[in-house]
Amino acid sequence: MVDPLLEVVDLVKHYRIRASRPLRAVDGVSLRVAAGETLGLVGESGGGKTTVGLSVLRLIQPSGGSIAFEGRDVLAAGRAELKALRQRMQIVFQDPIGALDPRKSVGDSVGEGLRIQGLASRAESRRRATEALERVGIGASQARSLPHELSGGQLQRVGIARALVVAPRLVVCDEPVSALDVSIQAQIINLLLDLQAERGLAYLFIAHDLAVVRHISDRIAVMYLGRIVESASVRELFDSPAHPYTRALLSAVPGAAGRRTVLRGEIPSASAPPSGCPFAPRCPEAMAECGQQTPELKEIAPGRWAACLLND
Amino acid sequence: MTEPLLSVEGLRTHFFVDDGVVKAVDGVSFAVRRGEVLGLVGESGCGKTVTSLSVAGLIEAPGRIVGGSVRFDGTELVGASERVLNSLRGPRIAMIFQQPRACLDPVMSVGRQIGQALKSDTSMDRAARRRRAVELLDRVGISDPDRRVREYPHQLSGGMAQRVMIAIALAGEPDLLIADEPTTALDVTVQAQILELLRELQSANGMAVILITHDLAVVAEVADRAAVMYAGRIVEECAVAELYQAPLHPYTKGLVESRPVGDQPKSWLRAIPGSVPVPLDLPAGCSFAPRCEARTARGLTECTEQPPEPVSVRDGHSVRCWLHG
Repeated sequence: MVDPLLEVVDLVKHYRIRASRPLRAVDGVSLRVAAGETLGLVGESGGGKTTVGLSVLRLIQPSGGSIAFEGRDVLAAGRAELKALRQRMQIVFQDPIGALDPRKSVGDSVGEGLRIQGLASRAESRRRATEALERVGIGASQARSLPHELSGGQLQRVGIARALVVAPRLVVCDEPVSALDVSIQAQIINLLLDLQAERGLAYLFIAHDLAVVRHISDRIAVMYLGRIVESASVRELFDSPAHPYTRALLSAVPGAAGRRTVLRGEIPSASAPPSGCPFAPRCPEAMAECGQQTPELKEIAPGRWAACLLND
Repeated sequence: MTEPLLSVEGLRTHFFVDDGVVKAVDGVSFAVRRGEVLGLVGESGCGKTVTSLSVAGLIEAPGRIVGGSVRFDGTELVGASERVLNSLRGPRIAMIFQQPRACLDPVMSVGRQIGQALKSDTSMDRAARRRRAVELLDRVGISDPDRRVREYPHQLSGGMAQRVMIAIALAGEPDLLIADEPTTALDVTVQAQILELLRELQSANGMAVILITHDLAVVAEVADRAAVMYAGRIVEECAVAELYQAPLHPYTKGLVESRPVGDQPKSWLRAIPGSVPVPLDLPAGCSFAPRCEARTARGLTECTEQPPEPVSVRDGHSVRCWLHG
């Protein structure tokens, strides 16, 4: 691969809760996103997907590892450099209304980023905000609305406009369509696809909905309990999943073809992960050594990675 | 044909709020036979939950059932006394919800909560209720039920809390289970477990189920028939197979086609334009008309003038649309 736009190596985020053992929300995650590409990050809740997304923009401080964006070290960046980095990478959240000031018009909220970044005067940022909102389908009259006056789909368009207005190269999308109705989800997915084609945006697309991730991504990384257990191109991942967790996840989707593997139990707590492979207690294919040995993420074929002793 | 277990006719449930009248349910009719699973599908605000709450007699002010009838096994429920409703809710009509933990009492053990649902059976003493609670937990697939029966809701995961809710619902061996988005808050692997459990219990107990969901794929997997709701009305009702293979209403088609299926990655999805109408300000004709591309293509004028009535297109398949009127 040419120099990636984003390169995360061995990212770790532990939370210390009272005197108990640390909660290992992210436990050694490495991933790369090339310019103009979409990497889908999937897995169940509690897997650590959001923690990875927030760490990339350093909205939370990771406990270890390294993050390079356009070759620059995100974790070592000082205040000014971090601000500059965040012009180039932005985030869109699941709940857009929670990310908007309820007392400000959505137009003002979109322009705010430009003013904070010192990129534009008041008049100029207003003009560029209007432009960004128009691009996502929010007209000038709606730009004067307060957040509560808009529907969920319109608010998510505002959330996307706010990310776009500073002209980023990478947008972290954290479950951007999960809170929306089905008929609106498709509108937002189409918009994200168009923007990517138009501006060469790269997305780190975090979602639990496999059908959506499959549609929008070039490559997919599957997370389980703070680790990436498999990563591959979309086609390879769906055609021949290499990790038992991926296989179970794909077969659990309602309407999935073939025989269903129904997993036992639920994802364990990240403060008391099982020894050995974290998936072993639920794994339908677990062997005796899976309880002792933690498998490394290994390249099992060019561009295909899996962390499972079955592939050794 | 025998009389259906539940038959809803022309149900109208309105909410009288400061800004006007929200016609959350406005002329809904459907029937559920014994042992049948009906999927009630639609997006948020379409009235699917209000429909189910109306059936269970759980509508509170400012809402009110202003018209129609709900007959359950020969008894009219609209206007029935609390005494009649209480004798049915629990033992004969049970409900489970999206947020199981919000429905469980946080300071009461799981065993006692199941026990409460068994109290209507006066032949059981406390010890018998406890034994039955353990049996029910085992029945819904909770491992180590003897220990779990003493636990409190905060000790349960989301999937386990939903299993406990199902155990409580099953306690009275109901004829009808209303499941309102029972798997929406759960992860996909846990969703698969709960759907399998519901299907298995349904076929073993011969219970009828109304499954309320926004997810067409869940309906396709579990239900026998589907009713699609939009803006307070059922716009299409058919066997589940026809929902995907031969949908008739432009809204149903839109819902089916707007989901990615994996054949053409990164291509444009067929989105439904616009958004659901504001309930205080519903369009004059068909509520879906402002978003309907089929109408624009055909140049129909009735659509914006008069709401269509349901028409039976073939046996067991009805649709409310001027294109088929």
